[in-house]
Amino acid sequence: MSIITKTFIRRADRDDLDTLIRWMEDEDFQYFLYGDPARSPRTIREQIIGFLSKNTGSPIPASVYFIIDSPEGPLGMISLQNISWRNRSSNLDVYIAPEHRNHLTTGINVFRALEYAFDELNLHRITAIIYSFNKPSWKLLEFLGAQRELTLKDHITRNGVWHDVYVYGLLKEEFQIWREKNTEHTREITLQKMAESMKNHLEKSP
Amino acid sequence: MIKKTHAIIRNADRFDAKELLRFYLHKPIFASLLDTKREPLMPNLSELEELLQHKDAAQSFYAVENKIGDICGFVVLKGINPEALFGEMMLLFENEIYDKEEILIHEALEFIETRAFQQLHLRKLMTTCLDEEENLRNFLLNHSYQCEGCMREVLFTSGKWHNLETWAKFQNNKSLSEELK
Repeated sequence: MSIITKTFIRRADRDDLDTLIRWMEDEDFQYFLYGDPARSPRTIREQIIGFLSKNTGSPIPASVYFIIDSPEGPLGMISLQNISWRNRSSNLDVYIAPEHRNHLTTGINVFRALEYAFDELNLHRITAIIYSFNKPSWKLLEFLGAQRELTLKDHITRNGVWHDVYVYGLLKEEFQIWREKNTEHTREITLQKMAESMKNHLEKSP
Repeated sequence: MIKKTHAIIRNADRFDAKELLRFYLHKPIFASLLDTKREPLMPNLSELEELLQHKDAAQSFYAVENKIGDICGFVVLKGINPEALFGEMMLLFENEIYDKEEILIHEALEFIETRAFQQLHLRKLMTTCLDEEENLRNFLLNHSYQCEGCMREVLFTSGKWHNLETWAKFQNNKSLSEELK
């Protein structure tokens, strides 16, 4: 069975500033990803402007920020950060706005971001750092073939409770094996299909 | 300056830059000297002099000397996370020291653990180890450090991929989950 979606990923730009600020002020953003709750709105704004200004589409970017978008508007963000061109590696972060959390949408777009990382940027390895209580995220990474490489015991506190942090690693060849096994399901959601669909849409638009 | 039975441990200063540079030039690479992207840094002498001149760096880099005043290595406590109460440790010693004067490394570790656990009240001390650093791995194992896992093919150097292990020790040798058992 092939999966079909209207969602797509695109490079984040200055027009996304207000959306990104709203997301970064979401408590979950700080709870599941990072950020100091005491940061001022101005600091958050400056941080976002900083990464948008670096998100230029350079052939050798230091990081890439994608917006997961849909005809109804943006749903979330995926970033490839700390790209090392020497080690051909990068860290993956994913945020989905609370009203749009859905395993399928997240999975499809993380799959596309991984295709971009391995097939377009020619990276060798993707690392994801996930808190142990964020089970949907680490289950998704495991589903996509990533391996739990590190378990950092009692590594962070949230609301006074200590939690482990998991570090997942996915190598290019592991992703390729996963993709070959799942060709039937992923045929319609690949980055290439998505780009074709966006191109058709552009040609039809006035 | 701290005088141990065999080692003398003191804050590193700009005059130690040349000794420190030896470690950056060393092959195989020391895991501790990789940056956050796991890339080896290539500082020059003047940059290291500047680094060691900086008060914060000087207070986290310690030179370890033997009784005759030769620098045998460095021990570093950095990356302190005040919220999660962990810190990162660097043990920079060449294989020759592990083979002939391991007691110096033992005393340096004792010093850094006292500083981390008793003075700074950290809960956890961490360090990293590349697959080629067998002496460091054995030393950590013999000093109650536990391996928290291994990141595969994370560094490309000398024409091949290398794995990177993370080792940790908790204050009282117990993580919270172990204490609760």
